Amino acid sequence: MDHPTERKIFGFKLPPKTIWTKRAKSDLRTGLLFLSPWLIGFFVFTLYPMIVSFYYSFTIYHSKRAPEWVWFQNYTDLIADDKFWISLNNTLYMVAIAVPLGLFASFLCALLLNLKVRGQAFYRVVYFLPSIVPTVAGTILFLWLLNPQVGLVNTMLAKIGIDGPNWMADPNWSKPALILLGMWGMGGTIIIYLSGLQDVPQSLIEAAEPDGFAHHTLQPHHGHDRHVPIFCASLRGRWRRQSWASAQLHVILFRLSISERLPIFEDGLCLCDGVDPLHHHFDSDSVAPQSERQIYLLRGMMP
Amino acid sequence: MTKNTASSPDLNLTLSPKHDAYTQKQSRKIRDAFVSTISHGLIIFVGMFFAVPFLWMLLTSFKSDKDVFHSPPRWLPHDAVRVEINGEEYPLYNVKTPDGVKQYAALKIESGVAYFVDPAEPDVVIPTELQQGTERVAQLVEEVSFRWQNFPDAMNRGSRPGVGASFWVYFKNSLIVAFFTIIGTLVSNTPVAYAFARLKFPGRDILFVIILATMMLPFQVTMIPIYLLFNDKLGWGDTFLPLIIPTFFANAWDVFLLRQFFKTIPEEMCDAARVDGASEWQIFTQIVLPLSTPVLATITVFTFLYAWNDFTGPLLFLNSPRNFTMALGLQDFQGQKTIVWNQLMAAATVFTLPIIVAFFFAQKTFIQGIKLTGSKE
Repeated sequence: MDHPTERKIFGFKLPPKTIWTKRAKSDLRTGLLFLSPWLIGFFVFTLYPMIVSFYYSFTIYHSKRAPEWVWFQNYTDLIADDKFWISLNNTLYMVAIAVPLGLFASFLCALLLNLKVRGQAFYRVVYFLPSIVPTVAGTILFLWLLNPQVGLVNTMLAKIGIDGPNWMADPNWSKPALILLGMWGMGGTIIIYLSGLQDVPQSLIEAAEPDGFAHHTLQPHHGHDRHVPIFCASLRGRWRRQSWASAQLHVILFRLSISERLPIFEDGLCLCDGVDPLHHHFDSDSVAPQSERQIYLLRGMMP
Repeated sequence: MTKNTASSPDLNLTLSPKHDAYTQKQSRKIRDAFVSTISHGLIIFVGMFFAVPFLWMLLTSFKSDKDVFHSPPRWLPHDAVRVEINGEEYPLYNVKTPDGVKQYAALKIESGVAYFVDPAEPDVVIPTELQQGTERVAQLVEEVSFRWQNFPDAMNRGSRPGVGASFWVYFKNSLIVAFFTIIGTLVSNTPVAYAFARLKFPGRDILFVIILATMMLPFQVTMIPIYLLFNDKLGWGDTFLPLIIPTFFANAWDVFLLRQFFKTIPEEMCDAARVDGASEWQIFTQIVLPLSTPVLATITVFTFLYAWNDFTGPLLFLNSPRNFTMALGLQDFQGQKTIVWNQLMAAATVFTLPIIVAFFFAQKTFIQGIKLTGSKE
């Protein structure tokens, strides 16, 4: 297929006007055939649920009865709901602080791991290991470490004369605690950055060597600006961790809700999910006789 | 020359060209050693943040119930030293007696009075007030000991014998889900990525923008309809199908990653094959895929981690304990009334272990993959 003229809209390149030759048609057929797994998936698992979600948001829907159209009632309810604003605030907090902090910290870690030192492979494993510790295990571990009375962190802080916070039980500290937990598992992002740093061709390093650059100081800097896709790829890690974070919350909340010793922090309740208008009227009690956990999950999402 | 060099006869020597090279080498050596020390220091300092929680998990999993709450916390697991007296085991204490400190076994301790016996004379019971004045006269004798029993205990604790759920069932379920997720991801993403990387057809670029846009869609938006679709319409509730089937329909992340890699494979190779009359499918399966093992390995590892760690999906779709994956099983276990931290940590360790083993086996391919992608130019 030829590309006769380039058309642009807002700087985005538009595909050239298609001339429907026989060749173009057969190209299209082959292309769509290759794309078919994604195309089907897109319609069934993305587009359809999105539209249905949007539709439900204008209804009161109990899964046993037909949806009842209520126009914008869900939205007005939502705006009137304090918890919605708390959750929005919390989400903004995580976006504005946790994400940049995580990306920056993992880039720094990647720089460290890219230094040519003895035992480099070992250090890389150490940095990476926490990220493969399963969510539930990691979360339980941090609940234990951050236990206000007997946790390692607070006892260590006490040793140097700092009165440690209540962490998970304190609305002001629950979010930093979650950020810490998230950063502990950022090995995946580090690896992606690291692979970006290693993408620097050896010739470039050799070329710069006589200029008096030490090997270690050189390698990071050049990799840095050469690979924008790496940044995108590392966002992938962040994004997957987003769902990670909500899983952590569920575990933590579940833990807290059954141990009467600790108060449930409302602040944290709506931290990650909860800005979705849909769930407001998704009546969890009417969702068939699901297990306790599922109802719990759905409740956890209600703003 | 400056004042400095003039005042130092040693440095004056360096002015001769012969010595110049020598000192340069020396100073380079010193500088390298310095940089290396600083590097190590920094790496270790930051590494503590990653290593300490992990070590703490491992060490806690070997502690006895009492040792877990020892204040201040100790790194190594300790346990009471026990001695056998008349066929039964009793903990040993350091007891202050008028004749100095002796090691006695405590038969029982009741309302502040301990009934000690000397292991050498098991028949003479010495009742002792534990608290005499401000002084505590008996001190438990402890030794470093790793309590392996926590592991079988933890596995049994997490099991639900009546409903056919045990640790090994969770383990097996996790493996099944991970296996099919990997298969699905590899099979479905590669042709899609190939089409975006190498094929030219009308509408390709627009479709690529759409697939990138789906990256931004949070799962929560589609979660409820997908749940209703799988659970109510298809009746797949409480099976692995809702976790596995969607992975056979490609996802934006892996497509993007694969596409980036495919784009680095020289176009000329494909063109040469085209000239020889190969179909796109043949080029894809016989040229591109074999050249892509590094990136396929990378995706396999990432997908395995993702599947193994996934919590929300199984939580949403799996109901009965016999279908639980490890993540759910562990959560189920920690949801019990009392927190038995040592067993919980033991369970978490066992949960983590297979991944670590897998990682060490896959590491070579993984790192190699990263390196190969690096040397593509």
